[in-house]
Amino acid sequence: MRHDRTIAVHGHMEEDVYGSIIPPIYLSAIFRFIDEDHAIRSDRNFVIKYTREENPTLRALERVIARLEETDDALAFASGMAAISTSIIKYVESESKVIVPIEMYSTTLQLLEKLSSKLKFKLVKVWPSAKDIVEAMDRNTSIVFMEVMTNPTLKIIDLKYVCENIPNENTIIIVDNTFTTPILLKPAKLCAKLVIHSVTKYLAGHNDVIGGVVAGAYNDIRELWDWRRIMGTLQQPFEAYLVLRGIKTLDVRFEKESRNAQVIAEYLNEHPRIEEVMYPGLSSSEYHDIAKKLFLRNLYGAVVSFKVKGDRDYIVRFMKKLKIIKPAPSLGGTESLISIASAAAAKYIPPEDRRRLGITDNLLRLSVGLEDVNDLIEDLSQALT
Amino acid sequence: MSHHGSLTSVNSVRVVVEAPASIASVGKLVHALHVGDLSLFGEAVSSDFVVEPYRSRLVEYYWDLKKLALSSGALGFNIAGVGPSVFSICDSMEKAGNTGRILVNYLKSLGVEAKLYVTRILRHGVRVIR
Repeated sequence: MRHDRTIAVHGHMEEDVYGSIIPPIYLSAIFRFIDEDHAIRSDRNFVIKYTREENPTLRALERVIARLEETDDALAFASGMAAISTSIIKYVESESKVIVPIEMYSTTLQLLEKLSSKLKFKLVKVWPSAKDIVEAMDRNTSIVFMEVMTNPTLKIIDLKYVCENIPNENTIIIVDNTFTTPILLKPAKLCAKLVIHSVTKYLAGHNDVIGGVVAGAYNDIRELWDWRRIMGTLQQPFEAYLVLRGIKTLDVRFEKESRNAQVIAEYLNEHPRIEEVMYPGLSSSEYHDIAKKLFLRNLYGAVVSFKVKGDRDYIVRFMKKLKIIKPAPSLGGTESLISIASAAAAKYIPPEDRRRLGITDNLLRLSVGLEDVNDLIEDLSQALT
Repeated sequence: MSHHGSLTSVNSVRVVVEAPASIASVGKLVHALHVGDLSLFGEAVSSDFVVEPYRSRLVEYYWDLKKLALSSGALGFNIAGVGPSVFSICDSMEKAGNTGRILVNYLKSLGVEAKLYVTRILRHGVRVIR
């Protein structure tokens, strides 16, 4: 087994007739095709005739993802939400139960709410903890959809405990691994049937492309491939190439950004204008021990959430005063970004749940980038005064 | 053996060549202490042409740290003893704490654990304490 760093660079295993070291971008929407018997096939033996179905550039990316997540195969989608919606539509059973924590990327929650009434399944929302998820699972549960590091308060859910307590083989676990990345966690090795990413974040890593992926076992990916084909939710080849290019530096970026985040979390934790810091890397965090047990490296991710002492005017002023850190949604890129959680990632979490979760209007989510850590601290310091 | 021999002689030549500059630094140091010029003192302790070029190779990110310290308000910076500890000299406790935190943050962001001690220089020399 090669190291993740090597897989990220060479794992595409693309070879063309010219010996290209870098996988070419196949922009062709169409390929020569007479019938299935005479068709050109991809490495997974699917016919290549129309890019909405199968495309060599997407295949190069999918092979890297599968190898990083240690699954059989993967599929590239137009966005993280395209990956999530296609997966849910394929696996959900009407009249069954779908369990989700009350805290996760709120557009996912919004999608599940809307689909539950259309597709007639019961959406059960529980407190984001392994114990609460396990207690809610029963024989009628078709899907548990979860993030291991929740967005935006960075709670850690013990996926191992969830995996050890699945009531029956009809229940599948789908994990959104965007915040943790395969550097910290490989959910399929624990029990996840599908592992999903918004590759827009750490995997592509440069805030210049939208995309999603799903990784899983051969049969699951084969079946999901058909749903991607029908729904037309695939990623475009040029975007797939950008992700492939970005993913080569995933390991070094994620490690440096996580180390920067640790220093910033410790700095904010001592700052008099900060009410609370949420970061599992802090030894005072109630999620520190479980994160340490669960994560593959001694890193705790590159997002730091914190509450600023002050009203909305003060927070807006603070965000406007920042010179290096940019106020913008999203995360995982080279640029440090900051957003008001209740106005961005948690916007579609109902107010009552937000209150219970501690997602107050003064909660900010900082995605720490690759800049020098002292420059970032100086920027925060001057903006907080 | 011949390789070791030639390496030693190259180092010896370097020490001989750099010796006048280092002796000048010692002179600067003594003068700075005599006239009480802390800036000159910092400049003198930062100017080691004999030991620092070799020992600094054993201290991770040494030259980055030196540049960072001197641009963050430190008057002097060098290796403490045989290393890998390093020291900065500043003209106030506040500046010393600030410089130290910048250095520690920098190292932590590179995955190197570091401890910071901020203290005053003893003014009374050596004493017997028992």
